[in-house]
Amino acid sequence: MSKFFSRRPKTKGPLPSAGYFLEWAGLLTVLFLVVNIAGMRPFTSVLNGTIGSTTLDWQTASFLGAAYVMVYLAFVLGAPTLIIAAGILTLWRKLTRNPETNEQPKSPA
Amino acid sequence: MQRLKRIAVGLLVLAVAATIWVPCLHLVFARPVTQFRNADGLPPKAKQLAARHLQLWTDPATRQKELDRMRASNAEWDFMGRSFLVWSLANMGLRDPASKSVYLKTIDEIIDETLRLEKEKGMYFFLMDYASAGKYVMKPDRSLFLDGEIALMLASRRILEEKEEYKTLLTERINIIEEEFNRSPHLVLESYPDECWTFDHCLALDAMKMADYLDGTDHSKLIHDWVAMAKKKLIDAQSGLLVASFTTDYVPLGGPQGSTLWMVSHALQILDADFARDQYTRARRELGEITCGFGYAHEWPASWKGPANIDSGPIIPVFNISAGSSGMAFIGASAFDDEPFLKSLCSTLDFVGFPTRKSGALKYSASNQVGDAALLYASTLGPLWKKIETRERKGAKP
Repeated sequence: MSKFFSRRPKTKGPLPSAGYFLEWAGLLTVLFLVVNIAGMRPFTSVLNGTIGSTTLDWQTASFLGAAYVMVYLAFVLGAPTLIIAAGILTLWRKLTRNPETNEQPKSPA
Repeated sequence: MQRLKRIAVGLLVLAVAATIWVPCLHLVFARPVTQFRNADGLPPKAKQLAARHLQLWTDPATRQKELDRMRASNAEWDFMGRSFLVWSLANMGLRDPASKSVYLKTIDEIIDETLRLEKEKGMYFFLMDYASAGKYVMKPDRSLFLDGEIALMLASRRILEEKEEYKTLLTERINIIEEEFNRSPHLVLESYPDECWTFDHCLALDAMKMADYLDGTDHSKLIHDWVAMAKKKLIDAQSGLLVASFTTDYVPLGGPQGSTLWMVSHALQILDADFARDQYTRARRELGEITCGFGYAHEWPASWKGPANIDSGPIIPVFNISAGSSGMAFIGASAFDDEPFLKSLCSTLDFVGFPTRKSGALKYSASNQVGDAALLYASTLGPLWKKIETRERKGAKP
């Protein structure tokens, strides 16, 4: 995913990039905004077995509802987890940094 | 090798982060329970939910759109949405007398339209299709589902404020139910062909109890006999819970179902308070769950395996969460002042109910009109039952 967002050099060393996690969190946030702007929230009535719109067929309405729920859960559960993970990695990097043998990129991200 | 190590560390860090975040998630959605339920007055959520329902009844086009969506799945929901709303508005009128006239207007509109539709289109209009495919054991065909809830609507309205026209209608409906009970060899009445529901019996008996309160009739023997029969014949041996549906020969059909039981335990409160408490306590133990601060309910106890159906709603695997049972659990938790469970249910509702607010009106996108009306009822219930209980406790002649 990083290749879509930045051109910085590949992470080296034992720790993954915190920036990579932040980019995913950003992507989940953008996806969540998109499904909201697209007006997919009412289709979540599929959760109780009610069609989201009488102008669409069941399959389409159910798909839109399920897609909204998946994106929402990914945003609510995933984005904060990714941000916390990025924080942990940054902290880890700072605590274990050895100026003489450090192979990490200069930026914490 | 270095890459594999990075992936492993990444997964480990994600797992640690999730372990931190998931238990905290409910704090984002936690609100004081008084937002949903108050002993007196109207809680904010009740006002917002009611605003949405009152809008629907002043805007026929929007209402029809909403009803069409529900009727595409279940015609019963159209009817039950009306019932829950009338019962809620009656309770709201008792909680907030200043707005009584607004509530009465909508209550009367709902009752009049429901009776008109029943008369014009017949009882099958509000029943699922299979009702007309089978044969009722007792003749003429009648559904206790409709008779009981209509009677309870009429009684609730009359307790809020007397209306002479409804007095006759309530008496007629109660007399029909009573006569049917007297003719029934097993003291059970059908809602669908050879299909009886505990839910419908309890609500019909509640209506009788309220009629006694209003009109000085006495159905105490019938109520006592039915509760005694239910304790003997309709209890699931494993869980001690009432079965939801059964044949006219007491053969259980669906086992103990949360989508029925939470309301049944509340309905029993004015019929047999100890039995009601017993059923709620068992339901809470067997069906209610709180995980990481989020409350939800199963449709069946662990000892009963049943398929998802129109009442349970889709069952979310792993946790076995039933949308139907979880929604109705609000009524049980509210009726029995189970604040920890109610608070956790409210957190879940705000987490995955997808609340949508517009001009002070609240609806839950993951719900529908009947679901929101049931939530409104959970938020406002109390005053109607209190009137009946208080009169009973005082020992006053009804």
